[in-house]
Amino acid sequence: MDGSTPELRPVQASVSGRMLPRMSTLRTIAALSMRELTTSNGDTAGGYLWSVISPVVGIIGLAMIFSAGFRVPPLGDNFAIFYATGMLPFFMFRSVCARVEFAIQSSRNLLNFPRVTLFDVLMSKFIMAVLTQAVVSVLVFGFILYFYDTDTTFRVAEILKSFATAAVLGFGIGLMNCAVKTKFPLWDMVWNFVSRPLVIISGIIILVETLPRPYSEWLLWNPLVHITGRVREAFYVDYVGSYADLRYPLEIALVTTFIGLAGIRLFSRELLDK
Amino acid sequence: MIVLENVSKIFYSRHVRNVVFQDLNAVFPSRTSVALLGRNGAGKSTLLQVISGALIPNSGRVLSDGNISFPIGLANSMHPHMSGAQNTKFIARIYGADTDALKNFVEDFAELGEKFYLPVRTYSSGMRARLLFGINMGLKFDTYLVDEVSAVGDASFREKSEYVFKERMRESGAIFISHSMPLLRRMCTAGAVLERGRIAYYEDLDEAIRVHHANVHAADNDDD
Repeated sequence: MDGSTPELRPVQASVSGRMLPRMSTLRTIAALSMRELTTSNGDTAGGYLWSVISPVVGIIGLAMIFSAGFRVPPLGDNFAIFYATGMLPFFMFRSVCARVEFAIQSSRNLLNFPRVTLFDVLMSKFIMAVLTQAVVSVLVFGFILYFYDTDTTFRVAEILKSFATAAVLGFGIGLMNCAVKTKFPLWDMVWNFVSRPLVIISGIIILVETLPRPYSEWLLWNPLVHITGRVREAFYVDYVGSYADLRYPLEIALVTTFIGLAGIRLFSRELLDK
Repeated sequence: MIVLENVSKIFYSRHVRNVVFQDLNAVFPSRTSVALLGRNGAGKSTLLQVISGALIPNSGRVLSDGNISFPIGLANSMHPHMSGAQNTKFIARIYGADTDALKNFVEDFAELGEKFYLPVRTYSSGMRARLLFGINMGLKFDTYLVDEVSAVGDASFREKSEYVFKERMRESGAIFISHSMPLLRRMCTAGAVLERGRIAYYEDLDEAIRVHHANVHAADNDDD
């Protein structure tokens, strides 16, 4: 130690060291996102492209089948756009939620590098999921609006706001699930049961106001109903989703994000030990 | 320099408490290559992961005045579907190093030939170890953590690795785990023995090895 007194500081092996963002966070997130781009879908030719292509083909395919089967959708007169305006914000929520929930679990080998923090992993998965789903949504809307005469409007600001809310809500619930199931593995099963009927009760195919009285009011407790309602409003001139209030899903997103981040910080040792 | 202050690590699996080590106190001086000795399952690798910062200790803390490498030897920290070159560039990016410079260094050092551009999935374990060792030697750390990278490559490669490692030891320190005593004698000057959740540091490697052997024999006698 040749005379000079070295300054000792804790290595990253502390809770905050593995959790909180630091100087290198932006660089790490960029590196992780690039890694995701090059490695998703393994060695398959096309690689990352499939993450975009397969949902696009799935949604457009189902929309075309439905529009052949049901001539008149509950709203407007084109089934494809009706289906897409409900399904795409829902997919934004669901894929962000799933990606964030399993972010740490699927990045185990990355976390061997002490430079990579839990926060980096969560953020890079979130960013990639949002970008992927945004591209999917643009492609599907573009395809439908180009090939069908949908007779709908396109209020960009409203649409962006609703999709952003869906993404943030997915982030919050994904974080919360990740934190809760670290301590209570059974939560995984519970969430499976809770989330399975979501596609039916989120106002995607069945509109809230078409339901009889007490049920439609109950449905408003589901934050996704507000998001799909807002998207419908942005597309259909004559649709009035007066029930839809983006504040409610945003509040839930805020609360769950807080619970999730606090929980992950609290249980970060367990998360890394597993 | 690395200082362990009352470091404990406990794993819980199915609510069974497994104390790996408790209240370790030790000082690993700068620019010294320390052999970390201990019987199988003594917690050497876990200690290395705690020192690197990959695992969080249950209590106590690890202090250092420099930057510490990730544990070399953890071959599963590379992505199997990315090529050696891509993995190298990824690690360069997260450590803020020059990606091309590191790639060129590793390509030259690891002698993987065209395999360097093929997925790591197709590598033998020796090739993986060479790649990871090359990446680590290409990055500048104040302490290198080496976990069991014996039997890598042929004699000339081993000679080259040892030469590069010793070059690095002019300015940096290391903590070295290996079951090969001749290798440890060539690479290290000091030793630390981890036994039954306690650690003891010896400035003289030979003394550390003697204590380690005594521990091994004692354990063998216990088994009889």
